[in-house]
Amino acid sequence: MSTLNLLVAVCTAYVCFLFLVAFVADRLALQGKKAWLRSPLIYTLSLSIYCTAWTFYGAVGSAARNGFEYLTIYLGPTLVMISWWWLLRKLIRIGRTQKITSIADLISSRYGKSSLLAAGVTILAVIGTTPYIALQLQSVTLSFSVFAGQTGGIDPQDKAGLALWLSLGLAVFTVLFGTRNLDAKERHDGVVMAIAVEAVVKLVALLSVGIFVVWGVSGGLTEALARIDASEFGEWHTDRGRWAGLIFLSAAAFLCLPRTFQVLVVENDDESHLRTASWAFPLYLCLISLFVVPIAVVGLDVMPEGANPDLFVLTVPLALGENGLAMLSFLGGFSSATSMVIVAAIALSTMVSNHIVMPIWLQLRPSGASVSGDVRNAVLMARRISIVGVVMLGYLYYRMSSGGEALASIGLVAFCGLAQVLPAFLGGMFWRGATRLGAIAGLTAGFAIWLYTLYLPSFGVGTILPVSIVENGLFGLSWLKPDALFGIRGMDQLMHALFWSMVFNVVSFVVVSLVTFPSPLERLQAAQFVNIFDHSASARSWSGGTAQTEDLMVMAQRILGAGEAQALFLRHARRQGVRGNLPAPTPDFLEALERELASSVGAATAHAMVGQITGGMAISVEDLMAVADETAQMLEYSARLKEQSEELSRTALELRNANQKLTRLSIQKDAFLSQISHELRTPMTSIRAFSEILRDTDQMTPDEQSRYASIIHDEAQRLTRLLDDLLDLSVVENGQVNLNLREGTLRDALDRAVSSAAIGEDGVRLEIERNPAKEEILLHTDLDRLSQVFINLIANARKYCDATSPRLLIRVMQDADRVVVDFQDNGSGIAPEAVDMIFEKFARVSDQKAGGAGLGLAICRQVMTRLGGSVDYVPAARGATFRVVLPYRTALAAQ
Amino acid sequence: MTEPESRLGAPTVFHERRTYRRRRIMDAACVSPLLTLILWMIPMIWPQTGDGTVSSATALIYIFLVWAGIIVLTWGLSRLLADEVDDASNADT
Amino acid sequence: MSKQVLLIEDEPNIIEAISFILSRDGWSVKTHSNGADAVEIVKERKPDVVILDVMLPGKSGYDILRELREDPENSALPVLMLTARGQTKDREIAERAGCDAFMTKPFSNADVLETVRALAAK
Repeated sequence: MSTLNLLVAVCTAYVCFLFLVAFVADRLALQGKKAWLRSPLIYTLSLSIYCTAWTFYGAVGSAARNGFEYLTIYLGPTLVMISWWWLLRKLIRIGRTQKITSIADLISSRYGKSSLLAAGVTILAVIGTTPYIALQLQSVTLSFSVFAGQTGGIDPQDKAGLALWLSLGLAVFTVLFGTRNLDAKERHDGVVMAIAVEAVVKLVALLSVGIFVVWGVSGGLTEALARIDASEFGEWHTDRGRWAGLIFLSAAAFLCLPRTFQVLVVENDDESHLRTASWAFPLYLCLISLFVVPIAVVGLDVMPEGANPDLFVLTVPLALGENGLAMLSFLGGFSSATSMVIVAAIALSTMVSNHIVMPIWLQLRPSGASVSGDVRNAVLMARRISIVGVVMLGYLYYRMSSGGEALASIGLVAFCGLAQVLPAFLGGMFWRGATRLGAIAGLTAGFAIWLYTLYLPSFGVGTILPVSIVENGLFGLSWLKPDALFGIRGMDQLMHALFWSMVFNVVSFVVVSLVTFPSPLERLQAAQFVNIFDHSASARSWSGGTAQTEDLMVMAQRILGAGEAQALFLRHARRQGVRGNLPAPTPDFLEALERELASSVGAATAHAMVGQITGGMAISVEDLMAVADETAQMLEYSARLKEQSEELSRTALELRNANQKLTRLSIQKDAFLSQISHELRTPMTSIRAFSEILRDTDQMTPDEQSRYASIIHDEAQRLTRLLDDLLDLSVVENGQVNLNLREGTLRDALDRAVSSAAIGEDGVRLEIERNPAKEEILLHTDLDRLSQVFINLIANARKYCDATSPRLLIRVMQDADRVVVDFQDNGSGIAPEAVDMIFEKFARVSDQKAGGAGLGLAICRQVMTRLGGSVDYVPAARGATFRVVLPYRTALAAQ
Repeated sequence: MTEPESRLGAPTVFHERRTYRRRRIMDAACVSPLLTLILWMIPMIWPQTGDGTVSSATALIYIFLVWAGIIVLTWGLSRLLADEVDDASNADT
Repeated sequence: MSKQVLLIEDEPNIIEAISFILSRDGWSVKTHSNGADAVEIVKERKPDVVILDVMLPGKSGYDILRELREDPENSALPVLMLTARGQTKDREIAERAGCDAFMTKPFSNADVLETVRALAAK
């Protein structure tokens, strides 16, 4: 147990030392002594965050299992670093000018501040990093148990407790030094310093073990090489696909991993540091991987069969009795693990709090967001909670997946997941045509395929993915098998997943980008990112003020027109007393110019344009947002205009309709007057003619006399009826009608109407179909008026139904609060254009058949309104259908 | 970014000798990663069976020699390009 | 042989009244009460005078008159138009259509008789 206690003591001391380093560094930074803290060397060492416990222990394990493949993990980042001139310089410049805080922020910022993309990348990063944190915890507990193994081992309970204490300690450290200050630029001097120290510890530990193995165990370099040739490594064997694929994968991961992005871009203090890191970090990687193969070879020789090769770095010195060296090696592994967890937690917490927690918090807050004290506190709190959350998530993952011993594979799974960001990342930096939707499509496609073909299967067949899917494919489709998409089998699982996810990612990204159109803000950002060096060119390289003024002149001419721009410049040159016609770019002049331009292009745009030329500075986020706001305002304005014009055209349409109706009414009024005239004159003609005949004619037979007298009588009655109708209508219309309310059944009212209206004066009988049983409804209403309405409807059917054998169906229906009586004939119905006129006075369906004065339906409608019901034409039904509705209070249910 | 005339008017066709040199150094900095990648891909075409297989020690030495070579090359290039980088970063801060 | 009058009118009582008056005066009165085939009936009967109502089922009196005037045989046929619509524009329409006389209902029997006589004498 003493070894274990010693181990705990060493760990504690080491962590305390780290606290001290971070604390002192923070202090120095506060005192402004940054020069030493932020040297190129520190920057280079902090990049070693890429090398985690996975590298420290896992590389030897990988070498022992797969030969030289472990090298690829270092070759990729080396290639990225030596591409500093065209790739990293641009990336860091973008990061600085755009105040990028994380990889999610970079992607979101490039694609028009898309919060959806930011949240998506954040989730991807959390999913990809959590197992990685678990891996670090596992490596520490494993190394503990190796030491304990010599003295009797530790039980799993202690292991879990150890992991928990470790996670808590790391969380505390990260909260203390990672959320101390809330800078727009997320720089953490203390943390970076601590990481640099840990980088040295890692390197020294691994080199020491390596030197011991080569010169202490093997007995020299040549012997060591000979030993390699003689070992299982023997000759060069490596899977070609994996060799190329893993180099690509590790290069992509180096750019996309949240923790490396944090130190590479976010924590970068000075672009010139990159110049040193470009060769120094490859050197660091080279040294880290130098002794991996010799250690693996010796480990395979020295250690018993079945020993875990992942722990050779630790077990080989222990087995050879070098306890001091083993302790150093242990510290190396410990520092790899801790530094990774710390930086990963900082990077992830920045992303989680900025892109998930804060947006939700701001949404939930009642008032709008203002950058005041409470927002600042909320951000810090969100940061801290996120750090603890991320570390604890890693711990939970470790507890749930404990037992898996192949450390390297889980790291590669995470690499592959994060590499999905690469197309949107590089596309955004080098291709202006990349759009937000393209990025979303690419990320989604790549992420989905990675999840299905690699991440879910990595939990083991049958845990999350059911066995049936793995054996038969999704939905039983064999070409959807997670390890052989589209029937391509025989590929290594990782390469298979990498290949297909990247293919779908890149293709969706490019195709969707090509077919979609970016928003104005997106296009501005695209220009900013892709042409970062033009936009952020330094003012110093301009040859004096006139160059600026010339540029301003060019721009002003484009916007204001040549004459006006020259006049403006000349005016200011005179005012400044400058010879020639170009004024010096004084603040006064710039302000005036900006105002002038603003009247043409809007204030924000003008400010951005002038700022771009004069300051050599990039357009700030605020400028861009203002541009976006202006665009939005313009959109809103045009939307309002559109709305107004729509309203106008709606009103115009209504007016046109009203006018049409008026015109129709007026025509009908004329027609009605003609009609009334006709209706009155026709009987009068007969009356006059026959009365003259009776007066003037001699020798008439009594038969003739009585016949003519009765004609006169009939026609006089016809006149009376017509006048009655007219008077009736005007009385009902003016509401002067007296309702004679009494009780009776609907059936009686219908009977009366049918008997008086079914047979016309010409003797043609209308077939009427009824269901008397249903008509037994007790009514309390003016039955005479109701009958009048029914008579009118029946008479209309008789007169206007154009079927060869006219039939009328009278259907009675009853529901909760009303009684409905339908009169449906079998004719062709009423023409649609006539429907809205038939209830008007004077209306007639046709000019030809003159049965009445066209007042019937108008009277019916007035009567029904008085009775509290309605009469309507039902357009959709077959034939002409009129519907009479009686309210329930007039209809008492029959007993 | 470096020469004002590159933005103000048509890009100049002929540069001073010094400017020309510097442009070629930039080209070299751009090409060196590609060269390295090609060199590191060469192990993929080594025969893996039969005669002529490469021994592990040889392979290891080859890869690390390339590594050392590119580190030295990048170091040299980065020193030659120092003016460029420092100019820009000083002006920014 | 007495002169023939063709009365085209749809109101039975008016038909009876006019027939009575004219036949008393010695005219041979034929009647027809549908507008649709009125033109054919005129061509067939070849009356000396036509009395034409405006509001007829099937075809209006104006249309019948226009068709008759287009026919060279009947272009000069004397036509008396009767209408129950007493507006001036009705008279104008009738005259444009080519009627020889125009009367508004109700009319006096004597006027009808006189007008028919005058038309026949033309």
